[in-house]
This record gives sequence, C-alpha cells and structure tokens, in this order.
Amino acid sequence: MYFKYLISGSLIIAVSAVAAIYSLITGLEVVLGASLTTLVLGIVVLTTGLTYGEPLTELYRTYVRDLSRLVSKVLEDSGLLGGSRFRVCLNDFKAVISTKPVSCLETSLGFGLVNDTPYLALPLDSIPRFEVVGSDLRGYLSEVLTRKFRVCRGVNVLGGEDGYTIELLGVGGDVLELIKTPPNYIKLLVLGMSAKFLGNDLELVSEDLISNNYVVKFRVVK
Amino acid sequence: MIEGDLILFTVLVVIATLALIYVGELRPDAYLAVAILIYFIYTSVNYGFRFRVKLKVVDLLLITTFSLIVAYRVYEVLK
Repeated sequence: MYFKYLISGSLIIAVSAVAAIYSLITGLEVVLGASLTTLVLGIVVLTTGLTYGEPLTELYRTYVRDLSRLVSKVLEDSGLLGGSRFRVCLNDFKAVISTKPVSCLETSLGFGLVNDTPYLALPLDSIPRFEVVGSDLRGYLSEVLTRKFRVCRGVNVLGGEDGYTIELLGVGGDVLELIKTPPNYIKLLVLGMSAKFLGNDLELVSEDLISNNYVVKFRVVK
Repeated sequence: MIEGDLILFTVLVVIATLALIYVGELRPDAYLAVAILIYFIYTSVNYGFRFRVKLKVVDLLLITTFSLIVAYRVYEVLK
C-alpha cells in the first residue's frame, strides 16, 4: 500500500465530489463533466495506492525464503547455527561462519573443514559495487542503506580504529524478516560493505535487534 | 516509474477534458465516456502499468459505466 497515492487519490475524488455538487447547485454542466473525468482519475490513483506492487517482489520473497531454509539447514546440520564465529574476508570477498577461528586464506567458498573445524563460506561479491560517498563510514552506509536500498531510516556508527558499532535505525517490515532468517542478508550486507570501505577483514562481535533498531558490533582484523 | 505513468495518464485526461470544453461539449456523459476510453487505451498501450497495479475492479466499474452510457445514448436515438 502506497500512502502518497492513497491520499492523492482520495483528495482528487473529494475535489471531484465538491465540483459535482457545485455544478448540480449552479447548473453548470461543463463543471459536472470535468468533475466526472477527475473522478476517473481519482479512482485510478486511489487504486494505484491500494494495489501497486513490483511484479517480481513476491517471487523474490519466495526465492529468498526457500534459499534461507536451505542455508539454515546446512548451518544447523554442521553445528554452525548459534554461538559461531562470523568473519568477512576480503580475499575472495566472502563471509565465513565457523565454530572456531579459522584463517581466511585456508577457506574457500562453500562448506569445508580447516583443522577439524567446520565452516561455511558464503560469497559476498553479489553485493553491488558502490562508489565511496563521503569520507566516513557513516556517510557511506547512510547513502547506500538509507537512500539507495531503503533498508532503514538512519544509520549511526560508533567507535573507530579497531571496533565499530553500527546501528540501523527504524528497520522496515520485510527487512526485519531478512534479519531474523539465517544467514541474515542484512548482516552480510552491512559487514561486507564495511569491510570494503575499511579495506580490512572484519569479525562480528555481537548483533542485537532492539525493537526496530538493528545493532551490529564488529572488530577489524589486521 | 509509476509516477511517470500516472502523470502521463493525468496529462491525457486533462488534454481531453480541455478539448471537450473548448469545443463546447455540455453533456457530462460525454466527458465521462472519453475519460473511460482514455483509461482503457492508455492501460492497453502501457501494459507495464496494468502489470504493476491490479485494475480488475476499476476495469469492471468503468466498462459497466461506459456500457450504460452507450446504452442510454442508443436508447435516446431509438426513442
């Protein structure tokens, strides 16, 4: 539902109704004709507000849900769900989920073992490339997450040098679903973009979802 | 994208209304019929709009209205 079209459509219909009443009182048939065409316009705008949707959204939603179930199953079976380490590696640009710390260089994409430690390495190169906007991480994340992807209403970045806390403020409905479903694409996106911006590998310290705010803490691995 | 579609539709409706006012048309049903015709032509040509917005109810409402206008005009002629 798109409120701006809903309100616009309602206003157009209201104006059309007022014009129609005015024409009936004054007997101006031209005004009645114009008000009827405005009514058609209002109905179309109102319907747009009520039913507008991008055609592939539902398909993508189903696809993401199925894919997440598969990844969740793999994580669950390999004991990587909960209490595991999450690391973003710039070589191969991947996210590595493991039970114990593993070296980025020893891992490759997919499921594997390093010294009997299971890991799952997910590719992050599908994250679109963005030109670096602004000189700080906050400006960059705000530009992409808030203005381009509309993931949240605002971004806060605390800390610096070795550790950062990133707060995504006012996260929307569908995005909340993504955050709650492993492997949590929003976490991958935030850490992937931060790693690219900082030019370092990152390791997740903690993540929290407090009401509509998503907080990610990570440290820079040098 | 959808803004552009709605603006174009609005422009077409406004042009048609102004044209009818200019030629001195007084019958309200003529205005309505032309607006409905523009709606169907526009949504047929610009199928992307129909693809994104569910217009079935509007289609039904407008085609019924249009049929009633035509039926009334035919009745007037035959009477």
